[in-house]
Amino acid sequence: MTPNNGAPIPLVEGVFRIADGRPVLLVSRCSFCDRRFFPPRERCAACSSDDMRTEDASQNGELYTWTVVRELGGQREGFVPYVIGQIDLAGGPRVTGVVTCDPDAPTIGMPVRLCLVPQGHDNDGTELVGYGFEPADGTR
Amino acid sequence: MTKAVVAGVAMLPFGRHRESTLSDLGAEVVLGALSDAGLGWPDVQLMYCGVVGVSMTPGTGISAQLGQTGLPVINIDNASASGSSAFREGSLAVASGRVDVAVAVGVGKLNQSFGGGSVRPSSPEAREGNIRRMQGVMPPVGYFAMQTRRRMHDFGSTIEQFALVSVKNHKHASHNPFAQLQNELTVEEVVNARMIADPLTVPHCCPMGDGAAAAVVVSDEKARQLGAPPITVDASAFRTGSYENGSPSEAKTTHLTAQEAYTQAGLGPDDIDLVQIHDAFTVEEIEYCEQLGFCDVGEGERMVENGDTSIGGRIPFSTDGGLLARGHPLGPTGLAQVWETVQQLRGLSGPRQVAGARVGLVHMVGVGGVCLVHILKHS
Repeated sequence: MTPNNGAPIPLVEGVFRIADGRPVLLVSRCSFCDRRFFPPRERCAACSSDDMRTEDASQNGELYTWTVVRELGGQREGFVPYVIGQIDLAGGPRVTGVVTCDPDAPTIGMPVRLCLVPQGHDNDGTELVGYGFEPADGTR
Repeated sequence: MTKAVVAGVAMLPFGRHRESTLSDLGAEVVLGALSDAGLGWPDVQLMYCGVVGVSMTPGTGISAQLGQTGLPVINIDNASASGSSAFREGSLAVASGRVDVAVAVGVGKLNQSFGGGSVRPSSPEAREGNIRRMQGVMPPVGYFAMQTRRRMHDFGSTIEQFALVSVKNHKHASHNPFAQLQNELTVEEVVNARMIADPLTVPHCCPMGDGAAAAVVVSDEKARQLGAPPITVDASAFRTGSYENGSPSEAKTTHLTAQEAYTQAGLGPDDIDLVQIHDAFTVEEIEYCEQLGFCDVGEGERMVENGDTSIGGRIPFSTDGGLLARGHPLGPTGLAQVWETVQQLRGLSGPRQVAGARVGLVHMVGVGGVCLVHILKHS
């Protein structure tokens, strides 16, 4: 039997969970000033309150801005090019992530949704996944 | 409180200094700045050294080379703003009356990489690395590329307008023998250069490299003894970021820090004759021009287009070429800005001299939302 019954697990715990094959980002909401943060944090970045509640963010959002990173320097030649963007999740907050689309495809305001992105394997062979975004209309 | 006076400055050409250690580079500019001030190493009572991401303490290495007089030496790592932070602390130490002679030095050698974390290691640092890996490896150019694209969307600006910042800075640097890139460029050459992160090509980004720069700050009484030109530090403002929609914003932090500096100096944007800024990427000049109060938000592109930020224009920016052309070895960059400002206020800048320059503003930001604004004045 493979570890975790063959199901992929998040690269980092406590940042997102997997529901129906898609990531749900966990955000911290400040009980005091109501701002929301991702990744989750123990203390509010705006007002310093430590009364934070963890809740699910929307799995949908739109692209606030983006770029295509074509050079990183050093040893990461096979890694580029990739599209990276800032995404305004429905209801907030704004998050950063890789957009798994063609470098010619992104536009500001484009609807996107969360998707799983492979992040290699753990030492025991378990598949690891992170989160990313894909165009919500299904185009690549 | 006495006023801090910048009595001496020195820098090495930015670019390549592979054969020297950080302390070698620092010792050379410290001696240069002291010689410029008419002082010697034994006169120095306190030294701050700005440096980024090295495990040893090059400032202490400088004092070991120049003479172990026992003076306090403090190394400061504050990302791009390390040299500016050293300058601030040296100036404040003099202004407080604690010392008469302080040295601020900055050193840097190229040794940068932006990587992700390894797979599921257990340390909290590695966990943070893995979160960044999921967010997507974000080199600084990626962040500013996204900012540029959003600005093009919000204000209808064109990539050619951003390219003009690089063209202007290279032109300024062509008159600066200490600049890393002294070649002139056209808008077409900037736009058609190799793409790094859309829409930013190579000349939209500053070069990294090696370098060192130093300033000697003395009390006004000491300055009179030395017969130094009275170039005073009239403001030293320093803030870290305020929270804004997902991350600290350089623009907002710059605005708040500049307001504090103007208040300290009793001056406003209209009183400033020249400006040095953190222009690691072209979009930064346009945004900081607005946030420093030289034009309204949305008008930065037009300032550049009109030549307002060129030497000879209304408010020249980055008269030495800025980070984009003079270079950005991190540790010394803020002190190279001080060097340029002091030379300008002394009227010694030759073909890039800003006519009648009396007041210079120096701005620097660093990763993590650090921002410093200094105002230097020829009193």
